[in-house]
Amino acid sequence: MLSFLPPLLDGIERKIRAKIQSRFGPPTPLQTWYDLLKLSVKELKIPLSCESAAFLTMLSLIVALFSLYAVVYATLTLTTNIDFMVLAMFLVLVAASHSLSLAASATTSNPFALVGSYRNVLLTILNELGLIVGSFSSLILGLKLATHYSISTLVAYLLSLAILVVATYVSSGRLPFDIHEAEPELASGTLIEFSGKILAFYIYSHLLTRYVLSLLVAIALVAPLITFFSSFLLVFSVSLVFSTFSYLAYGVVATLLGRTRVDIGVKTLFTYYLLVLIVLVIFTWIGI
Amino acid sequence: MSNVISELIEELSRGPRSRAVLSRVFSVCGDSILDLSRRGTTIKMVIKPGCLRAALENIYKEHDLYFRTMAASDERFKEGLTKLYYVFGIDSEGTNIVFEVPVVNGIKVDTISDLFRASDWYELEAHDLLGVEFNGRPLRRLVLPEDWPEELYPLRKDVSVDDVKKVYQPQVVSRISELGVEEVVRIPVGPYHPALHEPEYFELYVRGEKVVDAKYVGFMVHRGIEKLAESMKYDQVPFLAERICGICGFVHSTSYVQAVEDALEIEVPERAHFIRSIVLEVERLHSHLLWLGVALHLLGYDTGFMHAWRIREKVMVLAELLTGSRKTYGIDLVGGVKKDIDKDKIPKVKETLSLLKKEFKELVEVAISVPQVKARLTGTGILPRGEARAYSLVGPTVRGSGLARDVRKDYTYAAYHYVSFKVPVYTEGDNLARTLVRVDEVFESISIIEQLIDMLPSGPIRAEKWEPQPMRLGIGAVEAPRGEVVHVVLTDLYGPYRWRVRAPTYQNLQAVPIMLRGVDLADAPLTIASIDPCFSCTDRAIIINLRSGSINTLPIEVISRRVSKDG
Repeated sequence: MLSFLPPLLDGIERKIRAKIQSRFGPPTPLQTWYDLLKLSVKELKIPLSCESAAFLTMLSLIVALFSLYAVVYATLTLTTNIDFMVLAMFLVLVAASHSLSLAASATTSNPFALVGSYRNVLLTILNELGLIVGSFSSLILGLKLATHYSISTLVAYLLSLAILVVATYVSSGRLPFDIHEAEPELASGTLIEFSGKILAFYIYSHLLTRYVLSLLVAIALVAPLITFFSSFLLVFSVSLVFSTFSYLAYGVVATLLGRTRVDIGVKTLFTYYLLVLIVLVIFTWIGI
Repeated sequence: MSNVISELIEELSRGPRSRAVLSRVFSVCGDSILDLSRRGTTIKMVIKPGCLRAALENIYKEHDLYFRTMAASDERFKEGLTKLYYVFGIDSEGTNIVFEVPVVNGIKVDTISDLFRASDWYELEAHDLLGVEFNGRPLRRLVLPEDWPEELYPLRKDVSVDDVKKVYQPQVVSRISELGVEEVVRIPVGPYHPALHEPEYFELYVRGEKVVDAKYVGFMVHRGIEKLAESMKYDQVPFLAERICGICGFVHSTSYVQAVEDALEIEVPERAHFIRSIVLEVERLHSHLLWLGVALHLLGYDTGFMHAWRIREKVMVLAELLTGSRKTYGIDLVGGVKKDIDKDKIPKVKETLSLLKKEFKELVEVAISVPQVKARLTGTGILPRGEARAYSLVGPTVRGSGLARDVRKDYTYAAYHYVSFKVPVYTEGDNLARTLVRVDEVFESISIIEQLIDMLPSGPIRAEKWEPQPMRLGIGAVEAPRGEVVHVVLTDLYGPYRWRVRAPTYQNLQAVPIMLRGVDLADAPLTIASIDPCFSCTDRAIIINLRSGSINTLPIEVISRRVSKDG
């Protein structure tokens, strides 16, 4: 069921985006699924010098699927004590999925794909750090908040959540951080060499990663409330609702923004993370 | 200078600037000036080729004198020589100064491309199409393809369209066969594709993400429109002219008819002037809204793009209401227009304009304040004022660099002298400045249409009668959304003897490499788009052999096959 959800959410996001833009949009929320199905029944065309890219795309898809199962496992086993091994495994899988996607585009001979992937490398390196810090700290502090409420923990939790939200948003490759694709600038950068089945796998893998990141935010939101839920199934259900909400909220935010430039994007992101960390240090220093 | 000449200059000049220019030219050339005359706003000087450069060296630093266009014309069968018509403008007076240079076959004309940089392409084109030779500069192909036969000059009168078809066939098919790649599918994508869905080819030399230099290769498809018009009647040409551009076609047909009306001194009824002005402003509205949408799309802000085009749709409906067509209106004729504006349409026009103003204001307020849009427009693609002047640039491109050049004010035509409007000018010279010029112009255009509609006079819409006369020179200039369009017409008994079209992109493109230097690669498409360029038809790629230095132009698919063969 969870594997089915990301393209469906993308279809809903497209409908919402169309509404904001005064368009009708796709005829049904299932449109992304139809698009994927249509692409996947087309003939297999692997461009010359692109064989490794196709292989890496498949690997990326498998890793994205594993990361989805890892995050589901993390949700189902969520208690007041966090299993660091599961969280670490999950982050490794997410990072691996990103790296494989990057490697897939970097191994083509197309200059647009190369420019796109090099742009993304800069952004990814910076953002993965934010993702690790944000996810660990928000989960630890969220669970701590569930059992020992204090103002200082709440402030620290909210700041960690702010890092996590931005990190997952950037990782999801939405505007203004879709600079590696940048259709009007690079003729769809990383995607330019892919078509048919390979493109379908690439897009599906990308949507899975997006959804996994939304689930991560959902777990971080559920963590402080964990004591209110009587069963794992309830935790999981609430996480699903929160993840759907965050996925669509990210989509709406993206509709209101333009595309950043790689230098501005990296600078903005670095400044943001630095500011949040400085605030955290100051709060710790003054004893809040 | 003799008293007779001084009196002549005094009589013919239209103000202190033109007086100064004429005096300086006379002081240098004297006997080399064969004739001097004035009709309306145009002062024409017939000058020997040997003195052209000396005359222009003396005046090229003159304040607000700029190079507007140059038309070369084969008049060997009329007067036994080829003529060059250099058109200069003095903005502050609204005066055209035309240097008519008769060139006997085999005589070379001194280049002026170092004095007026904008004249570079005009000289190359005259060489390409008419075989005019220029001294002091390298000559190369500009418009015609590299495999065009030597000594075949298509704009010469002894070369017919049929001759061209017989003699020249594009060689690309045989080149593909030579390379053994017959089974090719032509993909209209260039090696660098900055998302403007038109044929353009820029070589960008980048260091990291920074553009260090840029080169433009253009004229992919020369359509031969000027040649085609020579076999048409006067009133057939406006329909051809309107097809020069898919966006500002009416600008071209109006420029053409104005040039013929200027040459033949045809009195156009006031109402026709008003109708032309209204439709020209409607065209500016939909063009600027289209451009704004594309610019926002290039910046990734697709919501702005969608809303800009949604608002534009109202303008298209307005155009249909006024002319019967959304585009390519076909209402221009020499001496007036074909279609009137009925009284019962006026309330609907006003209502649409009012709604348009409100919605456009809302869109701009939001779109320009989107952080990424603002950050990427500000300080990118800078064109200094000095460069803008040196290249004789036009339209929002030059107005974004601090020069208030606008044909509607400077060389007023149609019904523009009846209305009050501002010429928006920004001094920063960046992409934001050019955007804001267009934004302000939308509001000005709405106001102009409102004023014209209120003042629309009654009366006929077309001159009843006019007589063609041969070999009269006329200039028609219209402020298109992209900048001034200049048409030069030499008349004949049935149709134009020579028709020279100068679109604003011809002038503005030469400055794009300057704007691109130092910008980030990501901002290059927007910077190219910031002049609102207008290209025509298909992309080509070039291979540069670094060892031999040779350059071959090949279709992109041949290159891709080669790459795959070479592994």
